[in-house]
Amino acid sequence: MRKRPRLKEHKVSCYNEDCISSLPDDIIVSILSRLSLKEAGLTSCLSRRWRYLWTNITGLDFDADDKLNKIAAEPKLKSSERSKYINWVNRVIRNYRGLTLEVFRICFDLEKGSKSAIDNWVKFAIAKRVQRLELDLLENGETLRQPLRNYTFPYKLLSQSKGSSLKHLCPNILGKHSCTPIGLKTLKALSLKCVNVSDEALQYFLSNCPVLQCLSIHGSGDLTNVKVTGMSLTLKYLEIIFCLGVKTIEIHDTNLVSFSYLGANINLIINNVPMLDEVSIGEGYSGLENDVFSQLSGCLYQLQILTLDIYRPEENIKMLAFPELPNLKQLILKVGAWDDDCLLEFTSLVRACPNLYRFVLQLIWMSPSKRRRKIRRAAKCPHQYLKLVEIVGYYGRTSDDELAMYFIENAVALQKIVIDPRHQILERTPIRNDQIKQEEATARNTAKKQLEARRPPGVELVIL
Amino acid sequence: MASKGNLTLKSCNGKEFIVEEKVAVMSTTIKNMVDVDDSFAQGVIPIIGVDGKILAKLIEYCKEHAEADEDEEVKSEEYLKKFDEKFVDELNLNDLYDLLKASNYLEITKLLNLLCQKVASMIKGKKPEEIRRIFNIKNDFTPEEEEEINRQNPWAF
Repeated sequence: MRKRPRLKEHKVSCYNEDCISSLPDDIIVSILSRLSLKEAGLTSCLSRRWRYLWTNITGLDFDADDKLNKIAAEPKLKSSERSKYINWVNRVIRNYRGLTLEVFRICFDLEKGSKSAIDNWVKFAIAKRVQRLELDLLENGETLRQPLRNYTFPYKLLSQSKGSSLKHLCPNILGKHSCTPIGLKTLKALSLKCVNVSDEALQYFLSNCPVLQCLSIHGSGDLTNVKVTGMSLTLKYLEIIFCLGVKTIEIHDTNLVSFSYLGANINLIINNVPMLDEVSIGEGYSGLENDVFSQLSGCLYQLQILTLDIYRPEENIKMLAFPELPNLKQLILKVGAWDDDCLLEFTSLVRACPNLYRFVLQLIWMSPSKRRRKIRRAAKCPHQYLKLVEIVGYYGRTSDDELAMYFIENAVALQKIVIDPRHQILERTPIRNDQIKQEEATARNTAKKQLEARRPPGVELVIL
Repeated sequence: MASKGNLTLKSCNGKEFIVEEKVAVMSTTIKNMVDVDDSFAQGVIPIIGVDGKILAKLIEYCKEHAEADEDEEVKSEEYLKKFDEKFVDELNLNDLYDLLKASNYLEITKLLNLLCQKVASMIKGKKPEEIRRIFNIKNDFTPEEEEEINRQNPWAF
C-alpha cells in the first residue's frame, strides 16, 4: 500500500514563488485600478493569469496628455491622432469586461464630427452604471472652440434607450420615473467641457439623476437659462464656466454647497440656499460687472470661501463697494496683473473680512513687466486672524513686493507665506518652455532675496 | 474571557489577542459577527486562515486608525500618513500578500486600499520583464501567443 502524502506544513516563500498571481481576482483588479489605463493594460502580457484581468478595472480614464502636447507642437498631426484616439477608446470598450464603472473620462480634442463614436461611449458608460462621467473635449486640450462645432450631449438618446424596454418588461412595478435609464441612477458627478448642453438637458440631469452631486459645464453654446431649485435635489456643486449664451442663473430653495460662475454678464438670482458656503465668480470683462455683490446678497453673508475673478482690475477696483463679510474665512482673488500697477488696493478687501484665515492672490500676466519706482505702503491695519497668505504668480516686481511687505507688517497672527513663482498662463506650446523656466528661476531668486531677510520670526516662508 | 468593551480574537494557529471593540470593528466582517450574534462579543472570535503574526500586524494598524477616528486632535492626518507609509514600507512580499488576503477577508477597507496602492506603486512605470522579476511571475505564454498579444495590444493608443 502506498503511503499517504504528508500534509506539507512549511509555508511557500514568495521570494521564489509567484504568490501575487494566486491572489483573488478582485484584489488584483483593485491593484490594477490604481494604475493608468496603459499601465494596467500592459500587465496583460505578464502571463496567462494576467491576460484579461485588466479588462475589469473599475475606471476608464482615456488620458492622452502626451499626444495633446505632441499636437500642440505639430498641429497637422491633429486629424490622424484624433482617429487613433477614437480607435483606442473603441478597442478598450470592446475588450472591457467589468460590470460597473466608477469613472469614465474622455479627454481629447473632439468635435461634432465624432458624434456617433462619442454617443456610443456615453451609452456604454451609462450602461455600466457609471458614477463619474467626464467628457473634456477642449480644443487642443486647453481652449474653447466655436460652439457651433461642439459635440452636443445626447440626453434624448438616454431617455429613449433602456427605459422603454424596462417599462415593457415590468409596467406595474416602475412608477412615473420608469423612463430613467438605470445608469443615470448611479451618476454622482458629471463634467462636460466643450460639449453643448441645452437648458432641457440640464433639467433632465437634475430630475433624472437621483444621486447627482457635482455638475460642471464648460463652454456650452446652448445654455441660456439655468434653474436649480428644490430642496429634494442632491446637487452640491454647480459650475458654469464660459457658457457665453447664458442670460439667467436662478438658484433658490436648494441645498447647494458650492457654486462657480465665470463668463459674461448675467442675471443672477440666489435665494434661500442655507448650505451654500463657497462661491467663485467672475462676470464680464472686468469680473465684477452687473453689481455682483448685490446679486449675491442672498448668500453673501453666510459664505466661508469666496473667489473673485478680476481680469481687468483697473476698470472697476475703485468703484468696487466691497461689503463687510464677517463670516468669510478664505478669500481668493484671481487678478489680471498686466503691468506693474500697484496691487495694494486689494488689501481693502482683506480689511473688510475681519475673520479671514487665508488670503490668496493669484496674479495672471503674459510676460512680466517691471517698473522702477519706490515701494508704496498701505495704511496700517492689524489683521488678527489671518494665518495664511499665498501669492501665486509672484515675480518680484515692485507691485508683488509691496504686497508681500504689507502682510508681513500687518498680519500679526501670520503663520505661513507661500510664494508660487510659477507662470499662471499654462499653454501646451512647448516653444516657450525654456523661456518660462528661466523666468521662474529668476522669480524664485528674487523672492528669496526680497523676503527671506524680512520674514518675521515664527513665520514660515515657502517658495515653491 | 475578555472584559467588557474588549473582544478576544484567535488566530488560526491558536494565538489569542484581546483588543478593544472599537479596534476590532474596523473590520466589517467582525463588526457584522458581533452585531448579529451577541455570543461573539462574550467569547472568542476565531479568525480563520490568518496566523498570529499577520493578526498582530492587522491589530497594530487598526489600533492606530481607530484611535485617530475617535479623536482627530490626538492623531493628525499627517501622523497617520507617516504611520501608513512606515507600515507598508516595512512589509516583505510574504507579509504583503498575507495582509492583502486577510484585510480582504476581514473587510478592513482602509488597509486593503493602502496595500493595493503599495503594490500598484511597485508596478507603476515598470516594463513587463521588471514586473515579472519583482513578483516572480512566470511567463507561460508560447512565443506565438506573445506575438499575438503584442500585435493586438488593445490598451495601447
